[in-house]
Amino acid sequence: MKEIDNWIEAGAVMRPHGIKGEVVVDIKGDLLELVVDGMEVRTTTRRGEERILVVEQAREHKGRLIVWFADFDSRDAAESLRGYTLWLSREQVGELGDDRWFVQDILGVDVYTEEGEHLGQLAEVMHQPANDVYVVRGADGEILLPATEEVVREVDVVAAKMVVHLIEGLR
Amino acid sequence: MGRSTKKGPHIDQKLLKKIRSLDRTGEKRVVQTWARASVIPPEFVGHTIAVHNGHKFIPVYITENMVGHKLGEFAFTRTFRSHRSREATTARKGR
Repeated sequence: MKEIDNWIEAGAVMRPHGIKGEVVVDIKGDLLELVVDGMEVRTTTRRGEERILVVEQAREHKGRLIVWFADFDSRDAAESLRGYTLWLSREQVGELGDDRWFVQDILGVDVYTEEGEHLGQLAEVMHQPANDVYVVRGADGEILLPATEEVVREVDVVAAKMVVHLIEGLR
Repeated sequence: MGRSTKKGPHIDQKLLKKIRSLDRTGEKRVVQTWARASVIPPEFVGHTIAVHNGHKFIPVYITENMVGHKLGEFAFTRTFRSHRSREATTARKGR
C-alpha cells in the first residue's frame, strides 16, 4: 500500500524579479494556470519549515511564473523566499481524468505483466513528444514502456501496482 | 535547400518492409530503428516503433497527426536535467 500525500509539488522559487518584491517561480507546465491571484499556497524550505503564503499577483513569463506574495514588498524580502518549494493541495488541482495520474503517485509502483511476472518498479517518467515513457527498473535491468492504452492496462495508485501488456520487442 | 519533389519523402525502406510484413501477418511487435531521419508514412500509424536517441530505444506510438514528420522528432536526444520533473502529471495515450 502506498501512502497518498495530499500535497502536489508545483514548483520552486528561483530568484527575485525586479525591486518590488516579485519572485520567479519555476512551475510545472501543467499546473501553470492553476496559480491565480488571491490563492493560498503552501511553501516549504529545505529544512522542512512550512509556511502558507497568499499570492497577491501571478503572471506568466517565458514559461515561468512571476509571483508577488502578500507582505513581500521589497527585493530583500523576496530574496528570503529563494529556494522555497511550492505545493498545491489536491482540491486546488482538481480531479484528474481516468487516464491521467500524478507523477509523484506512480513513481515507485510495482509493475507486473498480465501473466503476473514482476518486472520491477517504476523509476522514472520521461516526457517525450509522442507519448510519455515509463522507465521500469528491476532485477533484469531497465525496460522502457510507452504510456499507451495498448501497453499500460491497469494502474492502482493505492495498491501501488501497475499491470502492463508487454508487446514483443519491448524487453 | 529542400529535398527534390521528384524523389519524394525519404522513408527508410528496411523499416517500411518490416512494418508491411507486420501488417500482413497481423502480428504486434515493437520494431527498433536508428532511422531517425525517416519520414513517417501512413503505414506506420498504430505501430509502436522504438527510435534510438543515441543512448536508448525510445518507444514511440505512431498516430495519424505524426504522419509527414520525421521519427527523430519524437525521441529527444538530450535530457533537461532538473531537480524536479517538468510536469506534475502523466497521461496514458489512447489508441
